[in-house]
Amino acid sequence: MALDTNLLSRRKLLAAIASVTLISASDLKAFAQTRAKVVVIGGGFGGATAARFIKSYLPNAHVTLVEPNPIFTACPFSNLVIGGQRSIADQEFGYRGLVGDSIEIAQALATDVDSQARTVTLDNGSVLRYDRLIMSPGISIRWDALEGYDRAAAELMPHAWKAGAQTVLLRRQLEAMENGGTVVMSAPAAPFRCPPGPYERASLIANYLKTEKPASKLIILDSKDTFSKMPLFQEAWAEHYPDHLEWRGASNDGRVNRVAADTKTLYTDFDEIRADVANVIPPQKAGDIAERAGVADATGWCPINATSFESTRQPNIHVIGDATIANPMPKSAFSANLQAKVCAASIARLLSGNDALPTTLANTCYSFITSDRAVSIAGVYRNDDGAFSSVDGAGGISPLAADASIREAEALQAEDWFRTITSEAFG
Amino acid sequence: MLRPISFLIIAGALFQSGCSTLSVDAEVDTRPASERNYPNGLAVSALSCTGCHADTAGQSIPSLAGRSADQLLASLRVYGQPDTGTTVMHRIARGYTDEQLTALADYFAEQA
Ligand SMILES: Cc1cc2nc3c(=O)[nH]c(=O)nc-3n(C[C@H](O)[C@H](O)[C@H](O)COP(=O)(O)OP(=O)(O)OC[C@H]3O[C@@H](n4cnc5c(N)ncnc54)[C@H](O)[C@@H]3O)c2cc1C
Repeated sequence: MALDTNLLSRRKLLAAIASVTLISASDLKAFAQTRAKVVVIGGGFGGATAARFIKSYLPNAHVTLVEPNPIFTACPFSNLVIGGQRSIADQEFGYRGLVGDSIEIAQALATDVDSQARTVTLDNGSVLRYDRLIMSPGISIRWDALEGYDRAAAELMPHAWKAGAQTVLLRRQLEAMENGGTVVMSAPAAPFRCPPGPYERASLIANYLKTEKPASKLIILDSKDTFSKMPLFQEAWAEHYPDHLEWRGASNDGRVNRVAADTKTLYTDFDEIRADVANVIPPQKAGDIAERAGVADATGWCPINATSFESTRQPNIHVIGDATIANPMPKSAFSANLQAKVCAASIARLLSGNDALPTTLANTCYSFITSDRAVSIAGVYRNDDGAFSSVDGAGGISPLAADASIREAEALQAEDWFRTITSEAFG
Repeated sequence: MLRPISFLIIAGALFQSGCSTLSVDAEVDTRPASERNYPNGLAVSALSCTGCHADTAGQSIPSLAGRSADQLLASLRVYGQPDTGTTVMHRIARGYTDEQLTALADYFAEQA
């Protein structure tokens, strides 16, 4: 049954109910509740999805999305821009679909949240009142965590961990590099956005070097000894990039503890490595507004009740996406989108006087290992009693030593996934 | 207008037809449709599927809506068998009980 039909019949029914004098208390309650004010901070994978699903579950609610950028640039598939397979324009999404859903867009930065007064202050001076607030601010870089890596350094040694200008900068630097150059990537300790992301990127940079600049090489300096889909990546690297990619784990002096942007040098405990192109993926935390709102804890991330996605630190504020502490669910666009939908359902239930319901959640993340082959990891989770857990016996990675046809099939599935998830989020 | 998942019809139909219960994911919703302005448990658990499965089929991921419940359940049961298959669906379906797979198959069959 189409939602539109439901809406229509509900509106008709409400009109009919209102036109007679006999209105039950529960009817009134249901009617009033749908007029709730819901504010969403952040128009990325979590926030845009949440705004749309709140509006579809509670058509009479007043939903405002706060996002400073008129265009959202998606991180998933941005490694293909860096690898030369895609253009940055393919990553860009506007908010016209949300406007069409009667969601109000406040094009501004949220600068403060008052959880007692239930208000959000914007950098243009306006103040929004809410009954429920959803925060999906993504990540902020910890500019104080890696010596020498500040905003100015990021213009010379891009992180490209928020897609857009940084992605294009890294691509341009790779294009400008001479054949024979050294590319160095530094990967952070967990937790960080998109656990397999650095290794997908490394694969696609190595693919570019192998095909366009074969005398060049990529060195990954890692603050960890293990990483997501590790056996699959290592198998792919041995098969495709034996001469173009070298990975150094933490126990092999891989941890970068200082960088010098002017000389593009990365320092480990015992070594210094000069790069022609350096991609520094720095330590991260929840988007800055989370700390301001009092929903982040000492780790820099946001503890939540996993069933309702409500902050454990502030009432009436729900946090979703990368900003949350949701492990074993990874910090992925898939998770952010799904958490947004489940959170919207929980809020619709809570505003109707019901409890949030526990459910089963899944995640799938594809990673490209060449321009047309991909591998995947999947997980199945429960959010009973306010905590996330993995479902035993489910999930895992693509088979090792698989045919090329299996890797090619997963690349096609990845493309379908990107199309579907972005249309669910942005229309 | 977004058409994510229609959530108003399922619990009643499911229970009337005598299907087995879906652990905590299902509930009997006895209120009239006009008062149900929030999704029931089954509709919520189906949200995991729609991030990949769109209303119209992609180049390799099929759409689920409107396929027969028998056909969907047969596929899901094959995926759910232990130690077979290479796709993400094999790894995901193993995380669901047969009752949950049955309910999800019925659910998507109802989405015209
Ligand atoms: C290279 C790379 C590859 C990736 N590949 C994949 C992949 O293949 N699959 C996958 O599932 N995930 C992938 N990810 C992860 C994915 O990008 C994130 O998990 C996802 O974007 C998280 O969604 P979010 O809503 O939490 O944050 P975001 O999508 O980053 O959205 C946050 C939004 O909030 C806004 N915002 C922040 N602060 C404020 C404020 N104070 N006021 C108003 N607005 C604010 C920002 O402008 C932004 O638009 C990848 C990430 C990277 C870096």
